[in-house]
Amino acid sequence: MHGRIFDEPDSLGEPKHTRRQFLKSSLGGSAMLVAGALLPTGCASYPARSGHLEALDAKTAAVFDAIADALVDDGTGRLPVPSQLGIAARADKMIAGLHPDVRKQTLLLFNVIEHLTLPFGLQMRRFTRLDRAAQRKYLEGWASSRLGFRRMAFQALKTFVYVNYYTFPETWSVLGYDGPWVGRFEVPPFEPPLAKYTTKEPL
Amino acid sequence: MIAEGVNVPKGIVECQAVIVGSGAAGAVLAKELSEAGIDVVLLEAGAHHRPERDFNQREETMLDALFWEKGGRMTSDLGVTVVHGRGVGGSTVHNISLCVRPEKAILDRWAAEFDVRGLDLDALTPSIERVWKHLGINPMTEAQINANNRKVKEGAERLGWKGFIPHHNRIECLQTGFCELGCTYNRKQSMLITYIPKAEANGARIFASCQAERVLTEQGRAVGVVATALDRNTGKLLHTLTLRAKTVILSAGAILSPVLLMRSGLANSSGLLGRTLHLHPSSPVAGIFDERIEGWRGIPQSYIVDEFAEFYRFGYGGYVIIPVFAHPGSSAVITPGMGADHLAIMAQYAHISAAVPMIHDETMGTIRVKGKRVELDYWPGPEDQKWFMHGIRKTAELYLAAGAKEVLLPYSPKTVVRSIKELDVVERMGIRKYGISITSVHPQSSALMSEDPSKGVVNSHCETHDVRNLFVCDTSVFPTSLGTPPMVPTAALATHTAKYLLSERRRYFE
Repeated sequence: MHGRIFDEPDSLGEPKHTRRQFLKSSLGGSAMLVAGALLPTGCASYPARSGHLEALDAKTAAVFDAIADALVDDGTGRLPVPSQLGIAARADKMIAGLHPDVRKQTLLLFNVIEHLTLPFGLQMRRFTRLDRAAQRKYLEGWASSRLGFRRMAFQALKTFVYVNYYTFPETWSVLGYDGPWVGRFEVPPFEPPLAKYTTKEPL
Repeated sequence: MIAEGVNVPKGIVECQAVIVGSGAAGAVLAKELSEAGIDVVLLEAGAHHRPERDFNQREETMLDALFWEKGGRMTSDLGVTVVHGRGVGGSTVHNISLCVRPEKAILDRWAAEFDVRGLDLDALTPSIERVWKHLGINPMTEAQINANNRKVKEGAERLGWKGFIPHHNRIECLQTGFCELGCTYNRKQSMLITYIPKAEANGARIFASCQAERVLTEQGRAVGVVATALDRNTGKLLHTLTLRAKTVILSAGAILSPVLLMRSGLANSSGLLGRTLHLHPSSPVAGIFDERIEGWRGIPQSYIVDEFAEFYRFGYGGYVIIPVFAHPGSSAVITPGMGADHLAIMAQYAHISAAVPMIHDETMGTIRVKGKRVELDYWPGPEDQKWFMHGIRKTAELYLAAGAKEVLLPYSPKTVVRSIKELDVVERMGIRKYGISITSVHPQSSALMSEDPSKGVVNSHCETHDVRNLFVCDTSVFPTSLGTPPMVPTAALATHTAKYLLSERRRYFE
């Protein structure tokens, strides 16, 4: 290398638009979460769960299952269905471990996804009652929205779904991934040699 | 003695030095100080793991065990993922063992711009050498380069770019490839199995699952720490304790050391605490090949391309290209698209080689505390965005040179290129929030070092300007981004700091 790859910087540090964009996202997100809090939260019309869930209830678990099934489904049936693998229970552990404020916002987000199908998707039915194609279209609308807080919300949903889904061994054959060594190969114990290595050389 | 949970003492515990955080800096300080006869208590918020028993190579278990927020800590706008470790041994337990010496130009810049004294490369070298021995650092060999790294090396060589096979702190590695989930087989010489056992043998008391809550001061001098013992499995509070010490050292990493100072209302007369955060951010580029790569097998990072590391010469600018590979869950999160689009990429998981340009950033992010919550704000500034685009383009060129049939760029929606002429898409896509995947694994520079109290939080010995006998010693104090993996420089800084503390034994420990 001889000269610099770029000329000297025009400016350094935070770009000017970031704070405004952030505020816009935050305000929009806050408004959305307030809406979420005002929406119905009853679980009566959602199927009861057999196992114990810490953070999710019957309703939010059903919404999460529907989101996961819609996000993962590629239309060919090559992959196991997330809800049948029990993805809600795995996500429940993750959501339960979140900071209480974040956990509350996450649950409100599921409520928003479920009930704001009309303003955000021009659909008359709630999310869990839409058919798969309509659910996917609705979620794609979140992913590609011009509103930062909706794209942000989609990113959060995607993280909850995919990080949990692909930890199920049933999904690995499609990837060609053979999984951990632990449980498959015996490895003799190995004493870490440096633990015994002591230099008492003074600093 | 290592105590955890209910076995952590209650009430008041007296010692000479309390160290918060047991990673690359805290473990070193604990070992070096205890070896010199100092009565040390080392606090670690995460659990104490036994690798052969606890590390099961499964993401759903290990992400929770070894990372804050299960590896999913993000900036408050969810734009950037910030990964940092927890548990005894800190981030050295999940890192990929890359051992790189600090660059002279970076240390020279610290002296010139931040008035850091006595930390030039010559002064730091004896500490680096000592760390080198204690971590069993040795050069990787050609034979240890896995298929993922091999593609990066081949691409760089075809383009005539500089690169090197780095040193690692691993011994008789089995090359299972699960390094980022903790080494089950004790081959990675992390702090957990090197410095920590030595500190323990020297008589240091190590309290795991024990979180520091507040630093105590009296008359402008640190005198201890209030901490809570937590249940290892549930994280629920068990009891509180007070550590009374002559000297307090925070080594909780670049996110949590400043958070502890903020919660204590200390060391911010400069107004800079938590406002100068560098993330050393990166963005993944994936080459898709006809042949199977199986990037999850073998040593994940055994080749580094430093052709564009301008910071080697100038102390700022540029990046290194480092191969990366994640297991399926983590890979799926950053894979663009959903449904068929997403699966089309995931189905090629075994054929993918991935690498990141890791940017020497100048952008300064912020850390804020809201009650018990920690909020981070960061988005690359204009100059760093230029480097990001340059790095993404060059990494894609590298993969095309290596024979990739297509290259997947880190954008959403899914963006694939098959030739160099298609790479103009990089400028068109730009660096837009939620349009690009950005991750940080090396947060740093959140409590800067400078002899000038208006420019930094700590002096050149890592002692805070505002509070006597209160030290911050970890990546927080680096005045600029290092540009390279920080484990060795951090451990060397801790060694150097221990040497200083012992040279002033009366002042700090009596």
